[in-house]
Amino acid sequence: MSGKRVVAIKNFDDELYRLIKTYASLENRTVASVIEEAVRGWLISRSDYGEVLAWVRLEKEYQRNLEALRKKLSGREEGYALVCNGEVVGVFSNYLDAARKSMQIRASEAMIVKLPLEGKPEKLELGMPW
Amino acid sequence: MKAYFENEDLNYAPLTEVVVYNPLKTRSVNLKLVIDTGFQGGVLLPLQAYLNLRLNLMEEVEATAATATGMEVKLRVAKVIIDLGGKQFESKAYTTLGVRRPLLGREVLKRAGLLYNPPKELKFPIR
Repeated sequence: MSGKRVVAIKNFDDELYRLIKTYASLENRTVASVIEEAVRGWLISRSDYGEVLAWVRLEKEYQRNLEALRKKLSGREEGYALVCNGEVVGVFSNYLDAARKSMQIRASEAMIVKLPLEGKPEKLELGMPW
Repeated sequence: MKAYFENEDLNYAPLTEVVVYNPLKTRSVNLKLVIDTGFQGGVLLPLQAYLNLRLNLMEEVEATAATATGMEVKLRVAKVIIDLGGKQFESKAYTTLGVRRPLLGREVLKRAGLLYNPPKELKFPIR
């Protein structure tokens, strides 16, 4: 289950909002729960929903792991850092040892990064839209 | 190794069949890849193939890529082993949202010597 956050929406249709509020009141629910239900229904109707959901979950974990990688390493280490669940699991001298450890842990996303970290991320040509 | 052209209506899409393994060789997928000389990297996989290989458990720092239309996209990246005609070598797999056809890029073409080699006699001269 994901967390909750405050979302402010600009230019939302006034009458639509009043209707949502009225239905929420009639059904003894919150406005948020009505909007969540509607948005979930819309998302499930998308043909690529499964792919986008998997991507969003991977991306959330990736950002958490990247932050851990930047915060918890001094920059002097060498080898292959394994990062998952927002923690640096360890620095391995061998890439395959890090990969084996990652398979044992079975997080939803894990990074194995060669240290010291390269300054700029890779940039490449993709050609035509695929 | 099979490398061939498919579908005259598509002006013969150049294809090759490869096996892609994760670095531990615990999982593999057989794919028909479109040879794409506009793609600089190794292989571009649909997200599902990337997940089937468990590459989400051994990702590198994300890369960015520019398409021919100037659009910039984020790419997930992981090491893979590619079997091309019985010869295996290490390469990089990339994925992003919306990949429908897997691509074989110039990094692999360079290694395999699959270079564009025009015939000596052309239908019309190009100078």
